[in-house]
Amino acid sequence: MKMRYKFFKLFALYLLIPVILTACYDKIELEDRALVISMGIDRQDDEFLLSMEIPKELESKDEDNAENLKLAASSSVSSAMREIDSYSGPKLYYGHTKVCIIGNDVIKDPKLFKETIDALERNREISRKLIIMCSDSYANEIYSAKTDNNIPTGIFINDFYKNNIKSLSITFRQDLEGVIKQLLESSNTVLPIIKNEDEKLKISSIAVLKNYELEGFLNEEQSRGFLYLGNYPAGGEITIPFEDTNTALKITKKTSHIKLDKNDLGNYILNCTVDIEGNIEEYTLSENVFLNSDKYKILQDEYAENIKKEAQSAFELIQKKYKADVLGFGEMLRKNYYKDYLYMQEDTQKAFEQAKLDLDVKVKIKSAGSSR
Amino acid sequence: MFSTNNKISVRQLQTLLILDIFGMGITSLPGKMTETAGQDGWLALIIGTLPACFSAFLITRLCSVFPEEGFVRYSRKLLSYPIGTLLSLGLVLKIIAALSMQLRIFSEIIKQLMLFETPIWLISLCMLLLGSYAASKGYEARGRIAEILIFVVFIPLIFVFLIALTDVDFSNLKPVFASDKIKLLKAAFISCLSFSPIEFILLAYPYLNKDKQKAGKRIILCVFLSGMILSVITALTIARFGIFDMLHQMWPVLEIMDTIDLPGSFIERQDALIMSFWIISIFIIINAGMFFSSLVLKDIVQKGTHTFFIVLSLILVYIISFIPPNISSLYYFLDKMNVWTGWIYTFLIPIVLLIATKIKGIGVNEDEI
Amino acid sequence: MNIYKSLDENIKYLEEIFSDCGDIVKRKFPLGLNNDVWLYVIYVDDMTNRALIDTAIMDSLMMEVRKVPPKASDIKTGIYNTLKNGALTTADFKETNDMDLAVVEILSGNTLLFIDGFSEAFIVSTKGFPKRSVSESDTEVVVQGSKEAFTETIRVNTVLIRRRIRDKGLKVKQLKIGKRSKTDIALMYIEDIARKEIVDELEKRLDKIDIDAVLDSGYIEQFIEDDWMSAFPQLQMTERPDKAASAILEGRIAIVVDNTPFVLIAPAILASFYQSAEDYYQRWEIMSFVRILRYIAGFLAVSLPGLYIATAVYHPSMIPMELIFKMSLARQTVPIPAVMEILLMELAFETLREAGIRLPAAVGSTLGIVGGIIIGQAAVDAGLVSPLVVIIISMTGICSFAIPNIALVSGYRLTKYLVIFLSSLLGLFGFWLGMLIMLIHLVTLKSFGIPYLFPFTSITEGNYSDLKDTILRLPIFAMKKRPIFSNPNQRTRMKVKKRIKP
Repeated sequence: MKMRYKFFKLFALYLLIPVILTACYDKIELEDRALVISMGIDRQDDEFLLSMEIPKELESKDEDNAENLKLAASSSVSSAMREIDSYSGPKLYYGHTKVCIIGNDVIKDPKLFKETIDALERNREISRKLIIMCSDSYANEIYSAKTDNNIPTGIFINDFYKNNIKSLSITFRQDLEGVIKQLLESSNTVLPIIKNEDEKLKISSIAVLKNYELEGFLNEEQSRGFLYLGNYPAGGEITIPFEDTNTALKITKKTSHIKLDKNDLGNYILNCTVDIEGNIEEYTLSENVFLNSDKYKILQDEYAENIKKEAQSAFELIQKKYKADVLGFGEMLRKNYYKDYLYMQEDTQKAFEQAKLDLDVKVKIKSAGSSR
Repeated sequence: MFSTNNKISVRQLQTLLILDIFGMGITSLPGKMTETAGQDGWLALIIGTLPACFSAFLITRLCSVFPEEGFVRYSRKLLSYPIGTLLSLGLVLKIIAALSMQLRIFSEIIKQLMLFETPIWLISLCMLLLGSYAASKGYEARGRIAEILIFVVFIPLIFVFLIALTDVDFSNLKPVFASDKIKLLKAAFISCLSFSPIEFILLAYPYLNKDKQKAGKRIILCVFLSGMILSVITALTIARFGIFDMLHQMWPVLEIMDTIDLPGSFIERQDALIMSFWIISIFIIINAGMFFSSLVLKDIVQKGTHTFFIVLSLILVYIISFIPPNISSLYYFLDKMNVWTGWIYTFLIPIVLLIATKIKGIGVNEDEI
Repeated sequence: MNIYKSLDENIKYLEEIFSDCGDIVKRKFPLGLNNDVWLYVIYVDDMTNRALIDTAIMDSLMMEVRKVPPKASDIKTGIYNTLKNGALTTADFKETNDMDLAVVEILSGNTLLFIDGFSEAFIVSTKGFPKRSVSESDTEVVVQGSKEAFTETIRVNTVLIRRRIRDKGLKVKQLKIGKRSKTDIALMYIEDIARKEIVDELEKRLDKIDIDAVLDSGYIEQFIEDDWMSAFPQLQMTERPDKAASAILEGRIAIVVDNTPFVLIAPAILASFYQSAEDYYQRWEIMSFVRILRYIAGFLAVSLPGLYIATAVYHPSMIPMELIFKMSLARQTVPIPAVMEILLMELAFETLREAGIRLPAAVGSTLGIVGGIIIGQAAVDAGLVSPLVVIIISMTGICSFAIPNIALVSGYRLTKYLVIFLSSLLGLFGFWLGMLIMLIHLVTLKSFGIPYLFPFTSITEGNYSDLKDTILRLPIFAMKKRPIFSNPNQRTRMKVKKRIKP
């Protein structure tokens, strides 16, 4: 009995070894992987057209970036993502995909947009921190722009967000997670726009989506105003005319809080306070700002006025013209006035259109450089 | 001197319990709580901890009546031989079923998030073999491994959650206390079922060395502590994702790792890294299940070696883990099983056995040492 | 068997035993003015101190005794006691009537003196074999601290330890092990500090050894350790007397074996392999930092190649983007898969390590540089391996050298291959499987009853002070208690209430 037991153990071991040794099912060598850095999704002739950027090295000496681009068309996004495998040597790997640019055609159709976002989310390799942007025309036009040192477009955008995020005033970073969250909460979202102007890439202005489809755009001033309201990091410079010249304020810190209140008449008021701190970067020679003058107090008020006007006009545009709740009004209503939310049967659209904005902007000038 | 037999200290038992309960709960509990009770899921978990503490109290009372005998032996003594055997067999079946479900969930998640092409049978087999190898080394080995692995599990976890805190929006937990009270209680009931590792205390008591009387209080404390840990994790996950996003995802806790930005790190995507702590907690549960099921089988049959029963349990668990065809039927089956049988061995049986001890007059004598 | 009374029979017996041994010196000489009594002296040439034999035995017996002639009644009957009490002028001297013991003593370097008519013989201790003087240790080098090392003579070794512990409780128990080698073994421990169970267990295991020769302490280690199948050492070997002395003061037992400078210390836990002698002589902050570095190096020595394979082949999302491009480009030209690369370079490194031990000193360092750098570079240029792999392998090698004890490193070197194998099958999941297997194995190891991973697991009240000397090395005055090895009654090492303020 003992001998048989031992024999059985050995036999089981022998059976196990070849099974395990023929494993390595997932082993794909590094050189057999093609890393997709960014992708663009368009709609053409009833099919999704995907453009993938698969660079071979980070900085190439060729003038032409187009070699890195591969196109695939199919009836669904995921099958287009896999179709390139059929005419590519290495297997495509989406683990390092940094940016996804969605073309204009896709965001105009709610069904297509929903399908695209779902395909991106369900994919196992794509990270939730994928940067989502939208193009003002076709996504693959973005790829024909030239970048410094011919680095791939996706890496350019990634570096742009990594390095400049604190000092942006006219755009912001939207990732897949943020889009999904906003869409699930209110079916509305905002996306930054990337343009190809004269063969150069420009990231500015914002697209507003309502009920999963494109409702309108915010131009640069309006984007700036909108970004003051929401909880986005904002920086950059504000230039306003003052006395007979222009002054420039560089924003170092911006915090904004939105609260929802209800007044006695049953109307909803969005109380928004924006606190901005900044440094004066440019005024005019031989004029003091801080010492021996109270100019900075006047300047603070001027700047506050300016910002308030911009923010208010952006809000009016969103509320009256686009009627899209992208500030999280519906969510705030649900969290703070749950009974009203239930009463409205979860349709907060009308309440949003009638809400008032009570904006309070405070600007503090911290320093004015090393001259008085 | 250090014992060469299978005795562990109360501290090691506490560590094992915390790890067991944590591992059982971490994958599906936050999602399930939010599904049932909305954004008050964390509250439901706190409420659910209380009955679990009570059941731990019952079990330690029961076990202190029979400090040296295993569950099999005293259930046979109290409730006659066949019923006791039946109860023990039921316990074994429950452990094996729960274990195979957990193993299946684990393999599915690994296949989904880490190893895409590897077949499920290989992943399950490797983990099962590892758990069995550890189980065959005895209870003392289990205690010692737990003492080391608790740091490996909790230190990265605390680190991740501390960093995730910077991005958390606590207003996502609002409206607090606004959910339907019935739903809250239902969620609490479900959560208290996931404290099923408490029934391992029934089996573990004879293996404690010294201080068995004080063990009761400490065990209840650590059950409470692990309930609190799970509740905090649930609250943080809800606050991080918001309730809609959380309901949308299958495994929100694991996704948290993918979304945080470690400051100054050069590792870009850490989702594979966080699997480490989770592989270890699943390993501890599988180890526990294999060890206890083979132990009870050995006590029932009363001959044969421990290793033989481990191999037997291994084969059983492996075969059962293939029964559900996909993950949705798996969760369906798991929910049903929890609702129908979760409370039997944590509440019903200890109460019945305690009543039996009172009836038969076997109690803890204060004159006895 | 007993010694014969008749000298001629003894001589015949001894001549037969030592028939083809040309290095045995024998002399039969008479005693007394009238050649009354015949004596026979026998010893091994050059294993004895010839000067001592000539003065203590030959001179005193042949010359001095003649100056004081014995009384007539003492001859023939009392000559034995006369010689014992009056003639042999040396302090270390025994008598025996056992021929086998006499032969063993001859072969150990002592001189035997037979007297005609008596069945007892004298054993005079005259050991004087050629020995190495106390010099520096090659394997355990310290910057600050004593540079003495043990030698091959057991007596010199025990003296080196005695000089450091001048306590009356220090015992030196001598045994002879090995049927044909009859090697001297000495167990050194302090009686009231060491645990009685460990001493008894050790003696029991030593008694059970049944081998013909013990050539080195390594033989003994393999016989008495708890788990012979494990790759990890359960006894510590050291060449330094200060390390052995501090181990004895902790309550451990040192086993000194003749003919080898390596002293065994039992029991040994994982934490003791990470401690080097210098740790206690230098400042505590830097030494704590170095200790932490050693633990990290130990972990990396096992896991680094496995981690590389798991991330590069299975989860490239974890590697930063710039690095991935470079790696991918470098790997375009390499013909072999990543796993084979790592295994090839690992085996080459191990071969280099093995070859480097045997090279003479003059060539050794040059070949190290040549082998390491130039061959590595040449392999990269030839397209056999990618440069990152060379770095990983050399980092692993460096980490394995950072651990003070080479026996432990051998355990890590073997586990590394298990981890590589499992990572290459199942990626990060396989990596953790390998590490857990190693952990489970370590957790079940015991060294003479003390768990191998002691201060990290199984800590009970009363033993928390052990943690002060594992990962961090707290200042000397903080380590008030002796570690787990010692007798529970003798735990307090010092009672410093207040530090001495200047």
